[in-house]
Amino acid sequence: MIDLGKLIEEIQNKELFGHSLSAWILSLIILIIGVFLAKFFSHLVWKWSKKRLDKHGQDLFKKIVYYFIVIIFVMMALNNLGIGFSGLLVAGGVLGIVLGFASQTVVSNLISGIFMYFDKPLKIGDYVVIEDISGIVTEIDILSTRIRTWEGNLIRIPNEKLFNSIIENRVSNEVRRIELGVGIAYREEMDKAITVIKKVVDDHRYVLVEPAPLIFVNELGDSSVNITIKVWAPNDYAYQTQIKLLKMIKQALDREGIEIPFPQRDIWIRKK
Amino acid sequence: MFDIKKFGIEIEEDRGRYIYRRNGIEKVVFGKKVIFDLFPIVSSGISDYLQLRFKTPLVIAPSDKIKLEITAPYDIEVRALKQKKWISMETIHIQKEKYTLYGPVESGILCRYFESEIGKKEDTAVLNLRIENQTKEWQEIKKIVFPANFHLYCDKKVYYPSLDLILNNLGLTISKSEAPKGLKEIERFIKDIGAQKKYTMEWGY
Repeated sequence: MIDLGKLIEEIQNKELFGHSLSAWILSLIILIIGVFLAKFFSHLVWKWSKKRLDKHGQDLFKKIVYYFIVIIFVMMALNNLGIGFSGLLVAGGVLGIVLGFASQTVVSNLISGIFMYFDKPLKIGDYVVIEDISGIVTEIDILSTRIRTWEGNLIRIPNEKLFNSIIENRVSNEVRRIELGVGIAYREEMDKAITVIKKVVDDHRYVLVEPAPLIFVNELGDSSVNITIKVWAPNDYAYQTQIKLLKMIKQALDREGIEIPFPQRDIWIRKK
Repeated sequence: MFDIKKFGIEIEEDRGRYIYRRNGIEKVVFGKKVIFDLFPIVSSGISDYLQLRFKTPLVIAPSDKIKLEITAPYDIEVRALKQKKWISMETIHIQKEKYTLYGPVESGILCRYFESEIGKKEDTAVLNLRIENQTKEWQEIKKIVFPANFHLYCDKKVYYPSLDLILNNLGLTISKSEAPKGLKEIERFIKDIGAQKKYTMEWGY
């Protein structure tokens, strides 16, 4: 027969790394409760903030609450093992210098992440161009931001780098300008070509009435008279408008018999 | 009021399913005793607002009140109905679909655009305006902008609810006033753009 009382007493008296086994078990229980409560309250906060914050804010808020509760319970667990807050500070003083150097980038990313939350240069779902990376923002974390490029690759950018980069947010406004160019032959009438292009632009449903489209001769090129077309379109439809418009302009110029020339060069051969 | 054949809609019934066809659009609807009907709806398209630009600007004398009837756009929604529940098959644009920005690029609002005229015109809805110039100056109105979140009404023509336009020192404020009397209200899903009952045109009119 196993003597249960004796077994408990044995466990209580057994020492591990200078502390009784029961103290270790209690600390472990405190940690488990802490993680459970952290999950519960962070989820509660996440639900509460659903209608009050955007997804980025919701995630950030949830993580702050989660780590705050976990840290408190870790300290309680350590306290149970006789490592008090003052002890932690002393240990932290020495360790802090070591960790400080090691975690410089992490802290910098964290602070940049918090600053970016308030600055809001981008949000999930935005089409952004950051230096030579362009794509859709899929995730904004406290340490890094993830962007899915148009090729489908996932790129992780540390928040510190993102914070110091030039961010071009292409969907921050409701509308965006599209610029197209077309060259016509020198023998063609410029005004006629502009009228034809203007009709195409006016007929396109997503080319905005205001800001008004601009169509003008931009350059007398080597082989063609170059016409620039600047129009505004709703952001979500800008790309498809750009693609369709160029095709429609080419078709309209073809219908009117307006030539779009190839690059040409006259070669004069000197007679001997 | 609207004839399905006029819009080139073909509906083929085949053993408890319906095949809907129009201009290359084809949908198969499964269900018994499904009714297809056409409903006029507010034409805001991809935006939440309407901008009516007057072909001839309205000039209003100081401290004067006027009432007038103008043309406004509408779309036709084709619906499949059963037991008062419906689903949209497609939206047919009766007038040319165009959009414009009201306000500056960085903060303006996207609006469905329509050139409005005084009076009634075929294939357009009727919108009654009551304009009150509370200022002591002459005022010129070139356009009006308002949220497109209301029901339409119809008999032989399609009607918007009347709009009250108040011109004062703050600018031009537009609010929905009364429904046309004795007309049938067209039930439809109203776009959720907040409980906005008044709209002040902060970037000019």
